[in-house]
Amino acid sequence: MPLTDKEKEPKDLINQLSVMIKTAQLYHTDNIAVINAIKKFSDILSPIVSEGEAALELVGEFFHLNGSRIRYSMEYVFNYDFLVREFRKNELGSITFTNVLHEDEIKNLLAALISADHSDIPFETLQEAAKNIKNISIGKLRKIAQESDEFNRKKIIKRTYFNTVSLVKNISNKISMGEKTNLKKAKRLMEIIADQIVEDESLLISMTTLKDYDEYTYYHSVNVCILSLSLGHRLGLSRKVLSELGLSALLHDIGKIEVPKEILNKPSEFSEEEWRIVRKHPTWGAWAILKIQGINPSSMNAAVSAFEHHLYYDLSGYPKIKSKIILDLFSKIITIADQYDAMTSSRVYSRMPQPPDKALSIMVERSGTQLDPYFLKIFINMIGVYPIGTLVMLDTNELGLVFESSTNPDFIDRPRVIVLVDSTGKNVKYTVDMMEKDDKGNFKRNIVKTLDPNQYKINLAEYLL
Amino acid sequence: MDKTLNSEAHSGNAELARDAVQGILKAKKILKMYPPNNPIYIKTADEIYNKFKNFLELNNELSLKISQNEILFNDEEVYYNPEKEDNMALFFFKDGIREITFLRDFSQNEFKDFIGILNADFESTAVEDDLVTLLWERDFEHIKYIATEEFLSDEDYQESRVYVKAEDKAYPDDNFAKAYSDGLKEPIRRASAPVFLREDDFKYITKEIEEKGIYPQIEKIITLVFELIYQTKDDVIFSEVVGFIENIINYCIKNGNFQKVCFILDSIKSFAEDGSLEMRNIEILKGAYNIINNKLFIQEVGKTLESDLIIEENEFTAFAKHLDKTSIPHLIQMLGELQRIRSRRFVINALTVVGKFDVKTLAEGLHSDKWYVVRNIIVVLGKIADSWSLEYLTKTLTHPDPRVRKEVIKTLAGIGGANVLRHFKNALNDDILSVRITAVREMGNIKTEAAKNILLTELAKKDFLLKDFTEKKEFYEAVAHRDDPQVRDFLRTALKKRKFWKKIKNDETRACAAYALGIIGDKESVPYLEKAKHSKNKLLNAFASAALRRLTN
Repeated sequence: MPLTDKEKEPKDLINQLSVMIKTAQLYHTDNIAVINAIKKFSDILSPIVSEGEAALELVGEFFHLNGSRIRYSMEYVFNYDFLVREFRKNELGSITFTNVLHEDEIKNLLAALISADHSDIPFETLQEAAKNIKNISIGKLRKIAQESDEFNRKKIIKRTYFNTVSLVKNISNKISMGEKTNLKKAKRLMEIIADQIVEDESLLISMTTLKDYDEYTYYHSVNVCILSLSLGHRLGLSRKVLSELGLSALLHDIGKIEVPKEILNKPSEFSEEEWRIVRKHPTWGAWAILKIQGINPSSMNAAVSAFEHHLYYDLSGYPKIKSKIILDLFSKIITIADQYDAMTSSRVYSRMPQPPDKALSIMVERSGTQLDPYFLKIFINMIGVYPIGTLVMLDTNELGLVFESSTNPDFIDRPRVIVLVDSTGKNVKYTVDMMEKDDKGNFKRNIVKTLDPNQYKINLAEYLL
Repeated sequence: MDKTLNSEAHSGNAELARDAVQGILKAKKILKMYPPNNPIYIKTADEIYNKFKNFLELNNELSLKISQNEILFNDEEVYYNPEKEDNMALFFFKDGIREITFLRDFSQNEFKDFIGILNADFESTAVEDDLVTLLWERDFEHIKYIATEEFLSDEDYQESRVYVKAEDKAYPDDNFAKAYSDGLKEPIRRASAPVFLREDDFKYITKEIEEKGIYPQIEKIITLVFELIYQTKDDVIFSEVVGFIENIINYCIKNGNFQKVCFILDSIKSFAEDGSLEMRNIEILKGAYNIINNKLFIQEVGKTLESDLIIEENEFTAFAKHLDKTSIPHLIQMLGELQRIRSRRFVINALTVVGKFDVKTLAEGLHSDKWYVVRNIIVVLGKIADSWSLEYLTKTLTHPDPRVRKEVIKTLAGIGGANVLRHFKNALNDDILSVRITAVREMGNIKTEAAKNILLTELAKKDFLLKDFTEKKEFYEAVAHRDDPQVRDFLRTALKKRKFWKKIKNDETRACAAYALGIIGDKESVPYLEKAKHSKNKLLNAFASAALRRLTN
């Protein structure tokens, strides 16, 4: 059903606000290009404010207009993301328009935004510059949850995570016994995970630092599912597609149920013959899904991903194929998530996983060959240059663990860190934000090197979950 | 005073909330019966939407709490049903919904989609999702709901066990001191630089997402299945994988996607012929191709044709080209079961395509106890129109149902040929007027000398005069199709002919002759028509006048 004009307005408002700011960053506010942009913006805004005030607020990664979330539309993705960045850069949380605006009022708002661009205290500068604009008020960016909520959210997320591990185990058992699984429960879990990602992906991504080499495949499947959904969300996939992607990711390694346990649990390197068997798991996975789940949209998606997740971007992987295949979108996403989680996990035959930042470096080397270069870029932006779980040394001689990626896309190398050893060498536990600046406007801390937490047997779960 | 006002407002709101809830109930019951473009659907939907609007004009939201048997608004019961059947509270409750809230600005579009979700056929295997999933996927801007996650935490959920286990597996000996001293000593190792996305990257990503859609393309899944076939050397697995193809074909049929079925069938053909398979496997693969001819499959095709799915006629005809003669009896049976004219036309087309491979089996349909099946088979035989068809067709001229006899006359006329007239001649004496008229018309359309002679012979018969006017007129009109001196002469004679006895019947015949002369455009008959125009017989008078107008214009 096509969108009504009323449903279109919020998206258009975001788009035009973005266009207007971009134009004002290039030209003086009296320039005809800016004035035209102002006029268009005003045309969109006027019918909204004529029914009452229009409060535009950034919550997490989404804009809300008068409390209703504005849909993320690929049509305007560039401008939507630009505006998110602008708001974050200026620590701006909301703009409220209380009446139909005069051209000068909008010009003043634009001038205020531009002045904040160059300030070390952007929100305060913006607030000062905008204080005399009659029909516009602004609010500071607020964290989604207060500290007190954090504990409950973590609890809910953990429950979802372990419910999903349990579900994968159940599905695997059923499929290995040749029983069809009702995927309704799995879909509901995918919906919950997708919602949690929208709310705060960092917490869920930190759950993926949980690895269990005894039940590696189950944990790995859930981790790949979370990472794929996070990437899918970043790509702006619709809810229905996200749910399908999550299911496919969850089942991507289901073919491993056919690989003998002695091989999967072998504590040493695989022989050539064992590798030959392990490499059959994509084929077995697709076969098992189609055989047991039958033909339906979800099973078709899952079978394709199971078959293609080791084929690689340049089709140089396995299984060796005869036909000309164009890799499915889901397969490209799942391959990236799969490689990242596999590299950062300890397994029976490889107890020492790669540190997260090292894993990313290896993946960058595989960009364009094994991995889709475009999706990998987004993945790196999502995970951060210093992914959650990275052990970092700061220029203040503090040692810490990255526990939350930066939400500022311009500073993805500035995550939030739990400091575990202070500059005097004492064991401590406090959190710092690498975005913090001193009085002179310089960053208070910089990451100078990364270390491998596995080498020092650091229990990531204890600190991150 | 305030308390009284509040209480009144509360009870007024409860009443409006009850109205809205009853509206949902009505929507679930009534709107299921009509397609969304039906006027009754539209009217009812508008009425129910207005109930929501009435409430939301006065309030910011309509929040309903749901339990197994009741729905509460502000703790007041606005719906109650202790039964399992048609229990709307249970309908929401069983999928986990405990609260549903409609917000102000709840739009008509959203309302229509909401009703569409409520009326999804959750019992059908085609709908794999529950109510919560459908609501979640639609992501309503002005409907919020709270769904319980109880059912996700069944006996399988063992958070504490798994979590403790996970922690146990983590490394016990944190060694920060070592890490710290190494950190101070080790050379600087920086992570890779941030990557920035360019506009081109977004274009690529947008294109990828658009191409993906929600579900994989059938072409993709078929390629995958063929790859599975390539990879297996086990005959049992091979047969299973071939079974997937059959399931995919069935899936496409259920979705009315005959174009994809053709793609699959063409692909099977190419695959079987590419030389990569052993003969025994080619035979198994052909089995998948031939599934489309079996009875159960054809029944599935019938169900699809009778559904509301949009099926393109050319795609269905292309599909029919893949059928073989073994499908004919099943298609004929389907003809007896289909209700929709359009579906029947599709099957007639299919039988026309496939029937020519085995006209004898096709002609079995002429023995059906359903007259319309016989009539449809006649149409098919007419389209095939070979010598065998003609033989079978002529046998149905004596079918007890006149609708069948009429159809076969029309069909035979379409085929033409010398033998056809012999059968028509018999039909001119059929007991049923409409059959005789059909035969007369078709003879007229043939326009041959032989046809004309048969008609003139009939017209010249003594008892022709006594026939019903309508039938006589049809005869004269048919004769008029063959314009030659003999016909003109015959008609003029008939127009001039006067009788003392049976004068009215004779004038009827004269009127018919006048009519035919007008059609032919015989100017020489003008004086006779002028005369007839002044006849006292109104019928003759009118027909002669009409013929004159035709001739003079």
